[in-house]
Amino acid sequence: MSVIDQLMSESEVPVVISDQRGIITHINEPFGKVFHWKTEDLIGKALVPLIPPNLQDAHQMGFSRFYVTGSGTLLDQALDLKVLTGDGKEKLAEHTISAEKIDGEWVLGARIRPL
Amino acid sequence: MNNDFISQIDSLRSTLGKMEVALGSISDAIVWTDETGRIQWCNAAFDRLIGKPHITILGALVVDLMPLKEHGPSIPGKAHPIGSILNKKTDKSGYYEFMRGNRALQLQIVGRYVEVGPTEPSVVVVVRDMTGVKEIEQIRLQSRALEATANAIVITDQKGFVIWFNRAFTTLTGYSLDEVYEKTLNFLKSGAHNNGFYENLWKTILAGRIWEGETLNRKKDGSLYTEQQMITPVHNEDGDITHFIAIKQDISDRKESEETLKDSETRIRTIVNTAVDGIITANDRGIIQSFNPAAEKLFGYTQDEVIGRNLNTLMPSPYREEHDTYGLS
Repeated sequence: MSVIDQLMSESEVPVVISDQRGIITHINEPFGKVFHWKTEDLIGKALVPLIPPNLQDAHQMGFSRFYVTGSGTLLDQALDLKVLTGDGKEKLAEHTISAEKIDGEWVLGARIRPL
Repeated sequence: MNNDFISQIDSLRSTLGKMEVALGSISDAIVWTDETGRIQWCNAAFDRLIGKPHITILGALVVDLMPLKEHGPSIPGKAHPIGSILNKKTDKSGYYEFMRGNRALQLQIVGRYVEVGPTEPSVVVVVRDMTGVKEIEQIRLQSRALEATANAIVITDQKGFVIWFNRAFTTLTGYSLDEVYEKTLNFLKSGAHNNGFYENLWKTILAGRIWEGETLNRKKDGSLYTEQQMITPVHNEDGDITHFIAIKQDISDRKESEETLKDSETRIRTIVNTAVDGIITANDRGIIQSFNPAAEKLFGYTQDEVIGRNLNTLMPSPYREEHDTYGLS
């Protein structure tokens, strides 16, 4: 089973998946519950609303570098980062971000465990 | 999502990604902060300079991440280029020292105040590691000398606001740079000098001349001390005064010794002047240097008539002629 398939079937840990442009394609139920987001408010939207304002520019630059080069410095390691919740709060969570090429395009997914 | 929208995002991602790669490939460190001095973005060279992973640097305060020293002492947050730029909304550049672990790095920092839109002040700083560059090592050596010198040295801007001083100033006065940065030196005033004294001082240095004199000042602990001070104006290429450099020396001990000496001299002079015996002092060449009132009475000369003349003036002939050869045969 591919990494992204595993993330798609994850039902315990919060998961968010985006395409290579940074557009959210999937969130699972735990993600919605833990971080107070509704699926319809995120699917088809950019990842930016999940990122605290002072990190949004760095996220855009880093994500775009990955888009151009296909190499990321933050993949497959546990990172403690804040998530912006649906009710406007910041919550610290352990992120493990993975990337996989499917049909010629990158798909990025993250397990996000609240701390 | 329609194809036009996807194409626009692809285009923007591509542009941003290329910029990130390009900025990441240069050797100068670049960091961009928000209005609070927190890092919004930095390039790979900045990560290397700080020696920490990129993700842990983002969102951190630059003043915490990169504390700096200038000509020796650590500078307070207000004097840090980032703090200064945000505070004054003007650019700032300079040479600083940054300790990465045990290693001292000599940095040239060029900071720019940038407004991204009307409500988003930010700072962009370019940092060049100049460690090992001959000219910088020369500056470093001079900085060490300034820092290590026994005299207290203070640098102020053209309005008299403190921007730097060395360790000897702290030893002398008890104040740290953090306490008095961008304050005038009024905190040292003891009240012993009137306004005319300070007006004359300012008049002299604002005219571009050196002021030199003694000042009775007060330390942080409240005690008084006397300093010998020389204040030198520093001019830019256009001849305008940009800074003042004050070199201070604590002369309290010397003043005390002088006073003690003066007191003893007064006491001895009183004894000599009131003695009933004639007392004359002369140097090793027989030249009279003092002549007390009893001697005036005894010899019939006044002090003014004999001081500076040979002792043989007081001798009658033939002793006068023989006087200078006494002890030679």
